Amino acid sequence: MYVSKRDVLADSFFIPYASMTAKELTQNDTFYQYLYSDNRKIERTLFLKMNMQITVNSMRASLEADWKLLSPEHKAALIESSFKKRDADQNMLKTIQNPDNPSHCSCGQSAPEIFKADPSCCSRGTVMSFTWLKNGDMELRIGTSILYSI
Amino acid sequence: MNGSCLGPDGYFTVCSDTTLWALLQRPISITTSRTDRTDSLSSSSSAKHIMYEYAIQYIDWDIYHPLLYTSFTQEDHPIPTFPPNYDDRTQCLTYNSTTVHIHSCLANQAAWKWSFDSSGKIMYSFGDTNYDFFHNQHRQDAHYSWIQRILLGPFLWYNQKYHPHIPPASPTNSITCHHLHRCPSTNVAIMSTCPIDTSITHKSLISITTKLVPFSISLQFDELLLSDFSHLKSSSSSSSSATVKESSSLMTRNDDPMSQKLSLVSSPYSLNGIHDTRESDITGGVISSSHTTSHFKADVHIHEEPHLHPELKYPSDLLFSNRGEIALARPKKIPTSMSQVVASGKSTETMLRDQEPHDQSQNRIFINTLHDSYARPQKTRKIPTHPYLIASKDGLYEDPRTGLMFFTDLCPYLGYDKYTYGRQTLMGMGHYYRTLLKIKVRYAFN
Repeated sequence: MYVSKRDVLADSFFIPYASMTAKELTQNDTFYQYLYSDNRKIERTLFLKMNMQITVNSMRASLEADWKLLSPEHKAALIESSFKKRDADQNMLKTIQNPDNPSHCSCGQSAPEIFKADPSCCSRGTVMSFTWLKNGDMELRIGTSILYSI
Repeated sequence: MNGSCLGPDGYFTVCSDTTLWALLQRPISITTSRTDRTDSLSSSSSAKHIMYEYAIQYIDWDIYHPLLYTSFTQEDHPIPTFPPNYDDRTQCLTYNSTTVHIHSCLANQAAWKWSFDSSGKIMYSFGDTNYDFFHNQHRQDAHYSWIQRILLGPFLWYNQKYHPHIPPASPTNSITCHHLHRCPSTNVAIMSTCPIDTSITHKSLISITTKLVPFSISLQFDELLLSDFSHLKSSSSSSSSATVKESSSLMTRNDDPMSQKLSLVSSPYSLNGIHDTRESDITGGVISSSHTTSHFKADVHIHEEPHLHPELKYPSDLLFSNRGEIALARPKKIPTSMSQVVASGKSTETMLRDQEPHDQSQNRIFINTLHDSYARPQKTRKIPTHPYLIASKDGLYEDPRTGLMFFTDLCPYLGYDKYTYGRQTLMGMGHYYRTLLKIKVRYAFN
């Protein structure tokens, strides 16, 4: 979880936590409940990095079943968006060619045939991020490209 | 200043990721010429004076960036050293009559109008800078606007006389207070005029201060805490002559002829509500006016008040010993007033330099409980640090369980300009598991 430093410093909620150690913070549920709550005072980004190769369908299923921070409408919109065809950007092309990605996974993005990309899987290290902006919008990124904005 | 940063609670402490302000100091070398006339001949001589300008720098970078350190004395507690060679991207605090803004330190001379008085008050001059003031004293028609200063703090105190466009808090007094409020972007606004009863006690003022400081850039600069910064606690029993010496500003060297002139400025604020910005006359270093600077009145009041808010500290709690030894609550042998410092032959600058933190053991703050006695040794604790930033390398944190690397600042990934949007800081990390398949294996033996 990433938060905007300026927003945190401007929010009086965090004052009591300023002097706490990291260990004290991890034991404080109120702190994290506030971070995950539906407030528009702070800009937050949930940054997911895959620790193993995973299929796009598994990611969709996980999103649909387990995620409680998103409304059903948001989930449906995100899943529908993931089926749209997208061209791989430069970062994804590098990922496809990376020796640590032997399956040439492109995580739903299409690449020129020479890359032999497999769009049905995401390699280890693939990043998916959700950013909640203070204006109420939410951005979903896979890799560095914005997949969807609500 | 001296390796310390202005912390979120208004104290000067070790720089960390949550500190926002640093004080920049730059010397101004001024050469003045003087012509001495006698009956038969005239001779001219020039004198070189060194003065200092101060700016309050807004810090919004990775405090643990290796470029900020000249040395690592301890792996887990490196001491940052802010480079003096700030560039045009360095941002500083400026102030106009209603709002506080952040501008380039180099491009805006108004950023260098912050100053300090002998008790450590941070003030802002609407008029002359140190440089201007110095030259104005040589002009017969000089208008001294030096007294029009703002005390930056949880409240901004000012005299209604100099700010007639802002209505007074109440018809019975002319003191109005504001507090700083940080806006989401780069501005800091002055918000919430709060009427202050002139009969307010120090204790209740403290609690109001605590209540009205909802964010970390608020600077608690009431009389008590102001003396924390200067490390030169004003003596409650100061005589008038001592007052003259104590009022020698930190802005000038002790041998500077400006010292006496600057000492004429009274504190614009006192805890008991007396608001006195009158100038006293001085002749030959002796105050001829009967006006007593108001902050000494406040000091008496403070010293008689033993009860502090639990989160507040006595001024001596920020006095660090040179070798990192644990200091007692009241270092009575340390010269606390400017007069004592002068008497001991030690300049203000030397005092400050001597207290510069040198090792990790100095990176401790002294915590006072509500009823601490003066003699009891103080409890110490470490200043919390950001574990991800401490453990990061080149802005990347490696998760020890997975070996995956994570940004400590997500701005590059999000495509944000760090100077515009500020840091997107890594706050917490966890592992999400999902069981995808359950495989049952049966072995059949024939």
